[in-house]
Amino acid sequence: MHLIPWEEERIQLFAAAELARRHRAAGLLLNHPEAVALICDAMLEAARAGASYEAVEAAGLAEVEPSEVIPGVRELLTEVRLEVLVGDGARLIVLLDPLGRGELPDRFGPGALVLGDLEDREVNAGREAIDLAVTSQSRRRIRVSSHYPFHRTNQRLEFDRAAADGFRLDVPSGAYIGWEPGETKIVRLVRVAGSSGKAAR
Amino acid sequence: MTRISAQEYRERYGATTGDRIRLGDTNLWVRVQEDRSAPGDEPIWGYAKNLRMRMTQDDSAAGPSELDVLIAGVVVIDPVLGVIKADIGIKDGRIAGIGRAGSPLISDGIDLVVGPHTKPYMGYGLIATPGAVDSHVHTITPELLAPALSGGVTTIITAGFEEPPFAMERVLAGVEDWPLNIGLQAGARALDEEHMDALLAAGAVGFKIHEDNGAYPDLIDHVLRYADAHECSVSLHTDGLHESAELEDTVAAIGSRTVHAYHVEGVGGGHVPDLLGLVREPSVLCSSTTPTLPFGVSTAVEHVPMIMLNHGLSYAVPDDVALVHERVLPARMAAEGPLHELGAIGIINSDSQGMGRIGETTRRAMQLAHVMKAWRRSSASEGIPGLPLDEGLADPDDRDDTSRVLRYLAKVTIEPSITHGIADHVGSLQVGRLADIVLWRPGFFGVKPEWIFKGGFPAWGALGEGNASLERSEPTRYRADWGGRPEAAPKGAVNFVTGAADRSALARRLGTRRALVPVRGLRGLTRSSLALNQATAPVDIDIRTGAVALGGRPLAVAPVSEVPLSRRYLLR
Repeated sequence: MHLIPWEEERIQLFAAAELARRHRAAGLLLNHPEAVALICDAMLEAARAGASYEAVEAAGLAEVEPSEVIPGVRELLTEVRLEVLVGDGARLIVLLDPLGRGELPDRFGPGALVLGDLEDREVNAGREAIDLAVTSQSRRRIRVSSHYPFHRTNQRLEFDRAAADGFRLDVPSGAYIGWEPGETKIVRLVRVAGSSGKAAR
Repeated sequence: MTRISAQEYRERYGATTGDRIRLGDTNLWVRVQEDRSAPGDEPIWGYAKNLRMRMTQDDSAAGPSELDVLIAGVVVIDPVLGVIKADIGIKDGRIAGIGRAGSPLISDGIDLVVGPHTKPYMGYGLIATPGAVDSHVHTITPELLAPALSGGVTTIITAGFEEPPFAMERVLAGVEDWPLNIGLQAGARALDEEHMDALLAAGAVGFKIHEDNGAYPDLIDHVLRYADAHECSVSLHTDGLHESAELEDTVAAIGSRTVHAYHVEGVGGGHVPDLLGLVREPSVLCSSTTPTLPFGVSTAVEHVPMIMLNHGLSYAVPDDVALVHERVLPARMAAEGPLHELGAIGIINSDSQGMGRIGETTRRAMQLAHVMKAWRRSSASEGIPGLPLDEGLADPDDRDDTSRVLRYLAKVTIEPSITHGIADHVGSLQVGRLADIVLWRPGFFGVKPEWIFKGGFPAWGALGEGNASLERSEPTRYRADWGGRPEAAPKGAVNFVTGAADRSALARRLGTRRALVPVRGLRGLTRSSLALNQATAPVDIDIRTGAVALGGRPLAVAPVSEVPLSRRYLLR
C-alpha cells in the first residue's frame, strides 16, 4: 500500500467518523470531535465518488443536522478545515459555521463573548486630522491600508503630499481604503502618534 | 477620529474592558478588567495589515530593545495580574511585558517594541494563561508527558520514587527533549544526611515523605530540619495506618515548619479519617488531587481498585480489601471541594499515575470551580464562615466569576510555584517569568488548548496534517511543534534543582543542555504566603465518619453526576 501520512490521517478520520455514525445510529447526540469527523468523512467520500469541489462542500454542510449534536457543539464548531482529493488533485475546503444553517448562535453558548459596552468605538480619537482630496490616475485599483505613511503612497495617487507628511488614514487598524481608476475620494488623515508624531508638532 | 460599531471592534480585535467571556461549557464567566492595547494602532500581521516596515514595526529597533516574540491581542487570565486584554512580549524566552506592543515612532505608550526581528503571533480572540504547574507527579511511565502538555501542563514537580540518583539521571535524560520544566522530589527513606546530600547533588529539588516508605515522626522531623538547612521542599503523605503516628503526632513532628501536604482529603493516602485536620495548620500548604475533584457519584467506587493496584495490595487478601475501604470515606471527599472554595486547600495537582490524571490538572480545577459556584448558590453553603467573595452572587443579572476563576487557576499555577520556590520562573505571566504560555479558544478553555508556548516558542499544539496547504487542517492532533522537538526543547525548558547542588558538575554529569535553575524562598512559608488561597480553617472532624464541620455547619458538597469540559469535547 505504501501509505503516505496523508492516507494514514484519513484513516484516522474514517475511524472517528465510523464511531460517530454508530453513536448517531444509537440515538446519541454528537460531541464536537464526532461532528467534525462526520463532516470530514462526508466530504472525503463525496470526493472519492467523483463529486466536484462545490458538491463536496455541499456534502460536508449537509452531513450533520444541528439537532443531532449536543447543545453547544454548534457554537464550538466554528470551522472545519480539510483537504480532499477531487478530480484535479488535492484541494482545501473550509466550511464556516457548518451547523449554523443561517441561524444565530446561542449568545450565551460555550465560549460566548458578551459585550460589556455596546457603544460605537472611537478610533484615533484626539489626533490632529486633515481632509485631503485624493485622485487616482492609475488604470488599476489601488488600496491603502491604515498605517501606510500616506505621503509615500503610489505616485499615481494625486494629492497634496507635503500636507500629508506625518499622516496616515483615519480608519481602524488593519482596515483600508480603495480607489477605482480615475476615482477621487476625500479622505481623512490623522497624524501618527509616538515620537515621530511629536517631532512633527 | 473614526467610529466603528461595538460588534465590529470585537470582531477585529477581540474582547475589551468590561466584556465577559464564558469559559468552555462551564458556568464560569470572566470579565476583562483592563485593556492595555493601543487603540487605533493594534499590531496586526497579514495582507493589508500593519505589522510591517514603517508601520507598527519600529525599523530602527533591531537588537536588544526589540521583542523576540509577540503574541498580539490576547486576553490574559493570570492569577496575579488578573484578566487583561494585552499584547504579550517575549525576550530571551521570558516575559518582557504584558502591555502595548508596536512602534514608539507612531504610537503612544508603547512598552513592547516590535522590530524587524520580532516573530509575531496573532492572539486576537484567544485567551492566554500561564502553563500549569503540576506539583504531584509520579513519573511511572513517559506516556504521561504528551497528555500533560496536551492539557496545558508545562512544569512538573515529581512526588518521590524517582530516586536513587542513577534512576533520577535516567528520568532527567528521558525528559531532556520534552518541552516541560521538571523538578524531582526524591523519596526520603532514611535518617542519614549523606543519602539526602547525594539526592540533592543528583538534582533533587526536595523530598517526599511517603507512608509506603515510612512517614514516621522522627523522619518528618529529620527531613524538615534538613530542608530548613538546605532550602529544599518537603512534600508529605502521612501515616494512614497509624502505625507510627496519628494526626496529632504528625502535626507535632511538623512543629510549625513549612511542608506541602499531599491529597489532604485523605483518600489518596494518610491519616484515616481525619487527615483533613491539617487545614488548621498555617505552616502546612495543602493540596488535593485530580481523581477526587470534583466529588462525583463514581468517585468512591473507582477508588477501591485504584488504591488496591497502586499500593501493591491484593484482592486475594481480605485484610487488604478492608484496609482500602476504610480509606475511601465519602464524607471527606464531600468536604474537599468546600475547603478548596474556602482557600484552605490551596493547590490542585494530578498525582499522575500514582492515582491521578495528569492531562486533567487544569480541567479538574475548572470543573471544581464550576461545581463550587453551584454549591455557593445552594443551602449547603449557608452559614459557613470565611467563604470568599463571589461576584456572581452579588449581582446575578450581570454575572461574572472573575475572582473565582483566578482563585482556581491559582491552584494549578502560582500556588504550587510559590510552594516549591519556583514562582520567580513559572506560575504567572509577570515580567521575568519563563514564557510558558497556554493559548486557548474560549469555548475550549480548560480542556483542549490551541497552542503551548514553552520558553517563548511554540512547543506543542493541536497540529493538523503536514501535507496540507494550511496549518490546522483535519485531523488536528496534539503534537510537538518546533520548540518541542529534540534539541529545540531543552533551549526552552529548565530543570529545577537546589542551591545546594553543584550545578556545573551536575550539568556535566547529566550532559544536559537545559538550564539548571535553583529553587528559592520556599522555607518559612505559611498559608498566607500563597497568592489567592490563604485560609486556615478550624474544622471539626468526626473521628468515626470523617465528616467535617466548620463553625458548627457541616462542610459538604453533594456528589455531582455530570461535569462540564467533558462529553462535548472528548470523542469517547
